[in-house]
Order: sequence, then C-alpha cells, then structure tokens
Amino acid sequence: MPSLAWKNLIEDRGRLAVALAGIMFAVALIAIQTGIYAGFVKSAGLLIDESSADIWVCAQDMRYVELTLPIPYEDLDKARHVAGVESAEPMVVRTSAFKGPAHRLELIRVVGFDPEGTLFRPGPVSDADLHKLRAKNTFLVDRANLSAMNLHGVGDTGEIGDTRLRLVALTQGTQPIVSATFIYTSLPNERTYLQLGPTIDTKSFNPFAAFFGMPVGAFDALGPDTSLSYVLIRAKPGADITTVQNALKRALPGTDAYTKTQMGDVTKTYWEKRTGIGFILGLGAVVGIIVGMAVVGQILYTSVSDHIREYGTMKAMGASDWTLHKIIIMQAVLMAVVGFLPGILVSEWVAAFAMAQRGLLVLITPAVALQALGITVGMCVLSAVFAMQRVTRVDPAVVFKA
Amino acid sequence: MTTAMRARGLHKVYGSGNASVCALQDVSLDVTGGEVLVLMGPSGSGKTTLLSVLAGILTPTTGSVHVNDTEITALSRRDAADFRRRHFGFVFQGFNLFGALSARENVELALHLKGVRGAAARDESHRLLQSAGIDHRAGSHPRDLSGGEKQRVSIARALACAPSVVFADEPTASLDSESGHAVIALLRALAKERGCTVFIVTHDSRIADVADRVVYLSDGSLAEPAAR
Repeated sequence: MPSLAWKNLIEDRGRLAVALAGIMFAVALIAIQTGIYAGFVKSAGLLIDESSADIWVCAQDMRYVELTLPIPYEDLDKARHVAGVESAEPMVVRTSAFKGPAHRLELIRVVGFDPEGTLFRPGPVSDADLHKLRAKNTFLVDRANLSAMNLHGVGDTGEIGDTRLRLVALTQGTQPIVSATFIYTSLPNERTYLQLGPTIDTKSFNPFAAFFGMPVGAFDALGPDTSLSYVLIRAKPGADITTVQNALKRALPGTDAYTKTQMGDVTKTYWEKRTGIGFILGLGAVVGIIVGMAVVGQILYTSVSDHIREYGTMKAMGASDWTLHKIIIMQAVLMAVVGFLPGILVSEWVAAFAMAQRGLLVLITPAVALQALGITVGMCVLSAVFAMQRVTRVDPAVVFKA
Repeated sequence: MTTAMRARGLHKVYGSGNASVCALQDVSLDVTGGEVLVLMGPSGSGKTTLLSVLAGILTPTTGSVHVNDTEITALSRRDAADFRRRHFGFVFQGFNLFGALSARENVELALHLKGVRGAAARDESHRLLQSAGIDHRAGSHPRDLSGGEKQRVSIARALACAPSVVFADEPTASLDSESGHAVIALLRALAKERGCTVFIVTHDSRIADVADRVVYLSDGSLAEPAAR
C-alpha cells in the first residue's frame, strides 16, 4: 500500500513539484519563525549563559537581567564569607549613550565585569583580548554591532559622555536581539564612563587596582559607595546550590539570589510577556501552516479525484474506508517528509544569512527542526481530511460504469 | 453440485415518487458452485444493477441474496465489504487497473487487500500472471499494455486468493473479437481449474458459447433460464 501511495504521488511530477514548493514554504516559515523565537529566548538570556556562576545575587526588585536596582558593593565582600561560596565577582549593567566617529548616538548597555575573573566571559574572546580591558578607557563589542555604532574595527574610538574610549577587541554572538547594543568593559572603566567618579577603597580588597599594578585606591577603585548590579557566585564543589542560595538570601538582607536557571527563566519570561513575541511569531508560523494546508489539501483532493475510479475499484474489491484513508495519509506523510528536507535546508541557509549579515540569532536546533517536522506532518495529514471524505463518499458501483 | 449463490425476490427501485425507476422486479436466481453463468439483456435492462446487488455492492429495495449460506443483503456496509474482499473477484469492462502500478503490482495490491504480503504476494502474483499468460509483461504499466493484455492482468487480479465467485461486467466490451474470445476462454479455464463460480454480464452473444448457462434480463425481470 505504501507503494501505491508513493506511486500515485510521483505519477504527476508537476503536481508533486507544486505540492513540495508549498510544503517547503510552510516548513521554512514554521522553522524560521520558531527559530527566531528560540533565538530570541536564547539571546534574551545571553548575558546569563555567558556566565559560569551558579548563583546571581541582585536587588529584590530585579525584573530581568538588564533591569535591576543597585546593591551595595559591600554585599560582594559579605557574599564571599557565606558558607558554601567558592568565589564571588561583581557585575554592573547600566544604560548609556555612545557617540561613534560620525557623532551619531547609539543607546548602549555597559556591562562592567572583572576581566581577570572566572565567572563571566563575553562570548568567544581570548584571554589576551580580555587582558586589554585592563587599560583605561577600553571596551569590547560584538562584531555584529560595528556598523550600528559607526565603528570599523579594533582601534576605533567613540565617546560616552566626556570620556573617549577605544575598541580593543571584538567578540561574537553576544548581542541580544531586542536589547540596546552591549559593550563590555572592566568595572573601573564602567564607573568612568558613567561619570560616577573614582572612589577610594577603604576595604582591604580591591582586585581592580591590583590588575593595573597600582596601589590600592590609586585608580578608579571600588568602595563602599560603589553600587553593583549583581554579585556572581560560584559554589564550592559538592555544595548544595539551594542551600547556598538560601544562605546568601539570609546573609544579604534586601537582596535576592537566583540560580543560573532561575535567572534565565525570569529573564525569558519577562521578555515573552513584555513583547508578546511568542504570539507574533506564532502568527507567522500559523500563516505558513494555513498556506501549506491549502496547497497540500488541494493537491491531495485533486489526486484523489483523478484516481476516484481506482479508489472505487478498491472499494468494490472489498477495501475498507480505513484502508483507503491509510493510502491518503501515507501520501500526506510522504509529501510532508519530502517537502520538509528542502524546507529545513532553506531555513538553515536563512539562519546563517541572518547571523552573518545582522548578527541575528535564528536558532534552528535539532529540536526546532523536529518540531517543524512534526507540525508539517500534522499539517499534511490534516490537509488530507477532505480527500479522505471524498473517498468515503465514493460509491463502489461507479466501477461498473464504462 | 451445491448452490453457491441464491437470490430471492429482488426488487431495486431508484429514486422515489414519480421519478422512481424500477431496475429489478422480483428477480430470483440460483447459481451452482463452479458454474459459468452469463447474464444477457439489452441496455437498461438492469444487468449491472443485478450484478451489483449479487456482489453486495448495492442493497436491494427488497429481497435477499445468499452466498455460501451468508445472507449478504443483511450485512452492514463494512461487513459486506469484508465479505467481498474474502469471497469475490471482479473483472471490469474498463479494466480498472491502477495506472501508477505495474501489472505485477496490480495483482499484488489485490493480494495485499486479502492479507497476503511480502514474498508470498510476489510469488502468488507471478503464478497468477503466468496462469493468465501475461507474466512476460509483469513489469509493464497498464498504459503500455494492449486491451487484451490489460484484461488478462485484470483476470489474474480477480482470481487472487481463489474467490468463490468472480463477477465480470462486460469483460469483452473494450476488446476486439479475437482478444475478447481469448479472454473469456481464459476466464472460464482458470475459473474451472480453481472451482470458482463465474457470473458474466454482457451484450456479447459470442460469450454464450463458453457459458454453462445463459439467463436473460428484460426490463428488470428474468426470462426463463435456458439450460445448455
């Protein structure tokens, strides 16, 4: 019976080509829309994914990774003394405006972190490039953001406020789809850019002064009046993350602590609710499904109509409706599978193109492809309903008419 | 000989009221097992309707049909289809072969419907095509076969799994005289060999030569059967 389904399908090559084109279009729409959604969700949490921290400590008012209130610098030191904490590193995420060589303003998010630390690394960037951030007024940016910032490459300069800063290295795949342009810098530089002014560290520990081989408090140091966005925590090997998380909450009043997964979930949920992107992209995918169903449904119906005498013959010979339905369903599944392959290849190409041209993450993972295949098969089988109704209504007596 | 098929008081009316047409009127008929029976009559006499009713494809308005002690007129649509699949074979005027399938695959499809699959179906289809003298065209598609060759494939298909009854509707109508005669001779020979009952509906008076019995239908009623 599969043979009949397949042979009926390939009997008319022109019709098959039209069907496959329709399915390919539907698959591409479904996969690309789902890929954009998956890419969006992933990119919303890029900052979190780039960190190897087990726990993020932040203000209780934190809405998502880019929107939080400051917490005092002293929480960093306190966190280091909480049981189960292996290491803690500071991070700041703030908004500012960047003026590139063409004096055009670009909204940016300045991510200040410890370039010599181990808990955050902005994408695939070498230790040597990270080391360059030790120099004053330096920054990294994603390669995909160069044109948006009016920059051509490493060595170019721009301004944040009155400070001129220099691009010292590029990174890749670190720019969220919906966020302002991210620039990465060391915490002392971040304070300079945001005009917070240097402060004298009254604490004994100041890793940033040490980076530059300067005495404590000599350069743009961090101190009690400094505020942070996050304290990134690595738990000791074997420590129970939840226990450490609860200990941090107790030790740092006014703050909250999230595991890496929780932090990702909070951020993704925020963006999903804030933008309704799932609905918007889902709508695009539905358009693809409708177009695919219309094409496949029409092709199957026409195919059944063309072979109606053969179906009638099978009925006269005693084939049940279900036997005939199975042939049509098999045809639909074969069409789905054969149409899926070029469709997913087109989607992969579009994803690569979007990443290369715009740094836009269209995430067509095996899971996305599998989901698109499932939807395509479902779409084709559903499209077969009218064709199945047609054969159900066939009167086997039709075969006795010459 | 036992009675393979018994029809009693068959009436078939199409439509209702003033627009109704009576296609069969009180038709009763016994067909003996292994018999080759030819039903003749002018166009519109109700031959095809009678064949369809006897084959369980049409339900009579009144009356009954028994095949091997099963009253097929009392079966549900699904059970009637199941019965046809297990007990009947069909030869059609227009051959009704599947254009996308080769001769061998057409026979295999009938075997598949009857539950024979894989190598068994391949072997059996080869044997049937050989019996029908068309095994040398097993790989050919219907579009590449002559009318006579198509009807031989059709006969091989109808005889798949040795049905109790083979119904043939105008099997020579699309064939030239020589091919028609050869096809009917083949059908008779193979049916006799397998002990199948054959019920042939035709206009072709030459077919009467190969029949064990000929019955005539006129305006939906059977004329007296002519014994041979």
